Amino acid sequence: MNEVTLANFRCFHRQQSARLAPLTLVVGDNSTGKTSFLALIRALWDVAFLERAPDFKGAPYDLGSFDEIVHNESGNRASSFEASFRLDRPTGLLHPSERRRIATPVTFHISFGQNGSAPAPIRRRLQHLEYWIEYAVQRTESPSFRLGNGTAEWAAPSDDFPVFVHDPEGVDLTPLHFLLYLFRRSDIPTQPAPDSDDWSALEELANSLRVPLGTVFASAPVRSQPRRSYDPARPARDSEGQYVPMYLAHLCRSDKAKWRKLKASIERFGRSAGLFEEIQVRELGRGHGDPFQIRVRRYGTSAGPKSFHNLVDLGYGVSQVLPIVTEVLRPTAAQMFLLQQPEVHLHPSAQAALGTFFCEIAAKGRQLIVETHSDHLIDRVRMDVRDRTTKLRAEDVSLLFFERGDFDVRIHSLRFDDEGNVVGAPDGYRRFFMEETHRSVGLG
Amino acid sequence: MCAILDASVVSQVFGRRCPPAGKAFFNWIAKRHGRLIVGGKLDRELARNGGFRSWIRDALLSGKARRLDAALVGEAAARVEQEHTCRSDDHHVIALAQLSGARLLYSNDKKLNEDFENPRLVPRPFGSVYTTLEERDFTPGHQALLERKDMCPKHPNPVTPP
Repeated sequence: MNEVTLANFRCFHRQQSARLAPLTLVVGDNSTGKTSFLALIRALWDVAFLERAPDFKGAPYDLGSFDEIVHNESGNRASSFEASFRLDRPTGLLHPSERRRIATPVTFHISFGQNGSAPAPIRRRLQHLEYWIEYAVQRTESPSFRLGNGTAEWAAPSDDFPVFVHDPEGVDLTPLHFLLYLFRRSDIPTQPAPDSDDWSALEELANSLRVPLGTVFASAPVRSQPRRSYDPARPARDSEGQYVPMYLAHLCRSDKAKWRKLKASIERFGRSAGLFEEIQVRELGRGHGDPFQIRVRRYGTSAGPKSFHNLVDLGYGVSQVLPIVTEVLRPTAAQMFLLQQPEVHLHPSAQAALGTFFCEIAAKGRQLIVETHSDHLIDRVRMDVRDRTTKLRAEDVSLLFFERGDFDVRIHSLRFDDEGNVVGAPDGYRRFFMEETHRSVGLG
Repeated sequence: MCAILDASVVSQVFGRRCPPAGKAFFNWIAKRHGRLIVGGKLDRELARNGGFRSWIRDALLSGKARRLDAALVGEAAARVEQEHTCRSDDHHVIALAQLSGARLLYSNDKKLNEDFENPRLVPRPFGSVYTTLEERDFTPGHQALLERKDMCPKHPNPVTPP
């Protein structure tokens, strides 16, 4: 995703856009909608790529019911909220004649209405240049499927057109490419009928959401507490990382090659952050059902029979960051990560190392959206961009500043330049920090 | 709106006993739209002041200061020196203005001030000098300089969402 636009959602009243990059850092005061923004991105991803009903109450988010999600200003509650994202597509393999058309971003827009107590998509619209496809389904009206090419518009009469509700909660997320397929093969009379170029462009547009983009992983702001020993269980992902010890043990037992690779990557981060040298899974029995422990060798200590310590006996920082590092590095990692305060309990030097770690991951093609209060993390990203420590360039980083206004929150899209300078900062950006510095220096 | 602060007056802005004009310059950066341009030799000169040293990291993170690459500034300063147009030996300050687009200089160095106002060295928009050589109070003249809108054409203005 390259840009998200939203309106009437939670504390965001007017329509505004936020630039997303391979690495996006989300900053701002408490209660300015940063977590809500992450929840919206997950919902957009779910609807667009997985054709799944948006879950605004699924862990790690709980935004409440529709009434609590839609913007409510002084009792004037909106009837729907809007969100869209822009998808820029890589054009490196295309013939130059195709690039202009294909390189133009695709925009996917969703209007969310009320379905019982929860929000549900009531209108989905996909647009690329002048071509568009729209499917609207409202409770009180018949569904409508329409498409156009900028000069002509075609509509499927709702009475004749099949509607496929394939969600158990009654949310209609019939794929747009399937609706287009049905429309093209129906004998609905349209004058003038779409020509072959129109069909080609519309089908390409409808298929643009079918690219295998993988999944999105959302982490909780506080990860689960470590335990002294674990009983093996199925390592199903969860936002608090409870599954991570199970996953490490499972990989250690079942696939030594992948385990060694993951272990080496985790340990590389551990050393760069000054947290630990080595990590190991200690089996407490010979059977697959026997318990195990996760142990690490402290940073700066040499290997020996008594140099490993149980995760429980180390500082909180290690156990809090391990789930995130593991999730990001695992062989079947998600395509997009929505991380909340990954720096909790970490020493500033480890927070900075996390900044470099995120730069490395984002440079490899994953998209990370990181909500953070860590100056050390942000400053490290700034310096890594400037010094070209990783392959991540200035344009690959976005800094979203959420600023509370009188009645809503504004999102400012800041960026770094090649020299690591912050560009586009409004006057309110980091006002508290600057005031503290001025006072500290005696210039207040 | 960008400005360059000459090292000779850094204590007038980041010192404990600043003149009113220095205080107003600081407030323009701290509380209004001012941005300070630093980089290269000038960066090192300014860093001799403890107040500046304590301020600059947060200012860079906050977008209140912009630091140019030291190597680029050094190369540009060498080119300025080779042209033999400068009367002062502050080629690095002129180079900063040329590279960044900053058109306001706070300085009490007469030769540098002349250089900064020389259109052959600092072309359109022409450079202006904020000085306390004649008046340490904050005068309407000082205020007018801080309200100029064309002092940083190469630096984007704050992004405003639609």
